[in-house]
Amino acid sequence: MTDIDAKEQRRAWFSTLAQAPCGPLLVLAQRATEGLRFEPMREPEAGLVMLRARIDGSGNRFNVGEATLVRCVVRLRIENVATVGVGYCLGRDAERARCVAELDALLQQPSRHAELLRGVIEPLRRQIDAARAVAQRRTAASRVVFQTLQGEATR
Amino acid sequence: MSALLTDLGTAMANPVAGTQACFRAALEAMSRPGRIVALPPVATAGMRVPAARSRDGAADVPMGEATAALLLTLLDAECAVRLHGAFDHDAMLAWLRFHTGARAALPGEPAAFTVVRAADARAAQWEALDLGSDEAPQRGGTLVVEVPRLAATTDEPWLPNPAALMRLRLRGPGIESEHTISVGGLPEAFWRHRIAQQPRFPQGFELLLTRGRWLAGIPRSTHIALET
Repeated sequence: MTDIDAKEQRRAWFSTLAQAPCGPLLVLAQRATEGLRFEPMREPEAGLVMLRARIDGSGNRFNVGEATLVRCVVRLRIENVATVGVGYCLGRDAERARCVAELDALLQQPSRHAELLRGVIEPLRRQIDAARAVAQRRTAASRVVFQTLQGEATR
Repeated sequence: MSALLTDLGTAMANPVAGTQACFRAALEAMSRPGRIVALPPVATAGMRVPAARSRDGAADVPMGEATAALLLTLLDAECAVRLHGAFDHDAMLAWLRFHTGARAALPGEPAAFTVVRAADARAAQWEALDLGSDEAPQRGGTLVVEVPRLAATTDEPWLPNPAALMRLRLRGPGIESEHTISVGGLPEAFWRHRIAQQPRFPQGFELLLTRGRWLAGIPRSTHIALET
């Protein structure tokens, strides 16, 4: 696997972990990390990040506002393979940030990677996709299509 | 995965209580110049500092507890820090960067904090210290020096090499009349340079001396006289 693939893959599981509903995430994480000892490098800590967005046709940046964020870093050693897991989550749920960091550290362990992708990331992904599909269906039901008559009038 | 991150040392086990205790100790040291203050255990518990490296890359005596705790307490993302000698290597910078957010000062850029071991201290380093300006004296830098000896003058007259000890007489704010302290390792030229800065007050630099888990402060407002 190339470095870029690995990076993309990690980005994908971060995206899943960031969007996953809290309850199932904590349950799955607890089951996956049972009996493992993680060394805390940065205990969960809450802080603020400035959210920025783009505006205008020119795409100038502007500050939307601040959001609370909690972050955590842990290190895991399994048979001399050390991995560092990082967790950043919106909100102030310290336990959630710790879960994400621990899962990230574990996912980088070659011996546990495939099993975790199957047992944790895929079910969470399915839940997120299902919830999104429901929301999209609900939105689509009230869709209004605006017709523009201007074009025909000037033809 | 970067090797720097997987081997990174830990910081204080209890960062809130630890940095508060360390800050209190630093405040005490700076407000009573020349008094030797011991760091409480909470300020250093759980800390694993990267090894210092000598010039040829070999492992050296690790950074002292007080030096490390001071850096973890005082540095933040707005600080530029400059490490010299045995402390000047990637693992140390990565450790500081991870735990405090501070970055290395660019060449020629004034550093808020300069950290050096007394044996590595050179004239070019202390001459490059930022003294601030009369309009903004708060810009003046802080120099943290790890010294091999730090003693109140009266004790240890039987020291093996008393000549290496510089006995300083301190006067100024925070000292009722006069206070003496003995500092080893730093050359006389350094102290002459520090004394030469005194007429420039409020410009100047703060000095923090550490040894093991002890520290002493000599702020820019303190007048130093060398005892001969």
